[in-house]
Amino acid sequence: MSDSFYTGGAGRYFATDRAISPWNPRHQNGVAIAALAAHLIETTPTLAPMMLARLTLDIARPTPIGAFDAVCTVTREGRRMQNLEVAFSSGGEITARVSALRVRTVASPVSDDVLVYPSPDETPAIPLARRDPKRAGLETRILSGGLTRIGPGSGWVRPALDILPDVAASPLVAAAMAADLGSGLSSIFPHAIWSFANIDLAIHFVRPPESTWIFVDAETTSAGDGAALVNTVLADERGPFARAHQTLFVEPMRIPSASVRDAAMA
Amino acid sequence: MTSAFYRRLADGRFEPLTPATGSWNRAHQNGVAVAGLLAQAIEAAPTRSPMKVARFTLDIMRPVPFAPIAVRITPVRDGARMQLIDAEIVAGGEVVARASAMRVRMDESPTAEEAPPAHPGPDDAPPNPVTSVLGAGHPMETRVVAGSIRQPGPGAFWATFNADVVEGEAMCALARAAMASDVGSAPSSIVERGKWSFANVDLSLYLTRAPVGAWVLVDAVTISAGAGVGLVNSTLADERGVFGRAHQTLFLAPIEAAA
Repeated sequence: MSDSFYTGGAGRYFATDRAISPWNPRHQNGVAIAALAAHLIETTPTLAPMMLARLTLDIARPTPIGAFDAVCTVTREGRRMQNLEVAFSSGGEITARVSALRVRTVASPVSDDVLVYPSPDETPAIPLARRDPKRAGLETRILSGGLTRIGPGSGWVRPALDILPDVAASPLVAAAMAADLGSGLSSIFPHAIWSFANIDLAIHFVRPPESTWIFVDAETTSAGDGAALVNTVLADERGPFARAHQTLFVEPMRIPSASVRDAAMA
Repeated sequence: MTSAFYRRLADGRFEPLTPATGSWNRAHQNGVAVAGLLAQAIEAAPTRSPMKVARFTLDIMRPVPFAPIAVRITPVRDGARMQLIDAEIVAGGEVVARASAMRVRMDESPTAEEAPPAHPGPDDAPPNPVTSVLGAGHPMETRVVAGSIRQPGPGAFWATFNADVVEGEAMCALARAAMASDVGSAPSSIVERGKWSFANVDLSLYLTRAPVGAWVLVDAVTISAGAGVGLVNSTLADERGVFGRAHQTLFLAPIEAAA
């Protein structure tokens, strides 16, 4: 039997306990939501060969563990570009929404992005959370930063779970999952005192990723007004392929739940 | 030249004025104007508590015709802690452009600000506009501080506006940032002008705070894997420092010879 975030299909899904949020055990985590959204987009046909240029995920409300709906709709069809929307809903209410843009591919001039980093094999196998080395369904090799260290962070990330039974994460799905880790890698907040859940996630692709090992290089910035912005570069072994951002809702931790305490002490 | 991009009509629609004319096609509106109009509409929508705009995403799904247009505002999630709101332009019964914004309530929390980019300030910058379209008298005033539209490669410029987005209505900070960001693709172009078109099909802003003062700095780099798609990465700053990032997806297409 496969170990997956979700079961179900055709618009009606069930989130397993592998999709539990580190902030609240009744809610789904952003990694799982981003994975399912990317999977639904990737499996929607296009009228011409296209690449995903942008994926913007808004987390309007928590999506519960258990049954929910997720439907992908083409909002603008075309041979040159395609706009899509994925709506997550529960109890008739939209909980998360994704807008995506795909653009037709054709040969054109190249201008590379540059980033220097070691390969996954050269990176020590230090996980993001020692007590839960496959936290949020991800295998991690942390080069710098992390949950308990303040400041920018980087590391390699690889899916350790399937999205659905026998549906493994593709490189594109892996990138969406990895992007959600930027905030945890580069926190500027003492972890047990502040909560900093992300309320959105956006990824801008230069090209599709080539492997499921994704390098994440993240920095959190804030004007100190109750929110923060994470700026992330995503790369594979060939080089950078995308930029990602998260908006963080920053507030003093209320009574920490057991899972949050565990994460903070991990 | 008129001192606004749009005029509000009695029926609530917006009539585009000369500065809103398309740069790739005169029958269309330009992206700068569209971004400004939708940013202005979002900032004017009420919130349940004091909030700032953290993200602004604009999709241009079809060309926006150079004709009066209606703007439709829809709050998707209207809470006291956050608001997710859409602003759409409807033309000919169809949604041709859609902006969405994430607004977040303001409170005190730890600060982590970035060092300002090493460019001269707007007062020390020569009055070289990004493109001749933005020459003397245009309501968008730009001063290039790095790169050039004639030379492929990164570029940076200061921008300010000597006009309203909507005639007689004060221009909001989000509109200033969005309109300036929409020009990031021009000074950072990587393709030979006249041979390739590189219109942007979206625009996204990620903001740590609203810009202060009249000038916005856009420090832009265009990258492309050569598949007909480009990505502009811009750092946004004002005279106090960096306040965010912007991206544009570029549709790269060869311009067919006139003959």
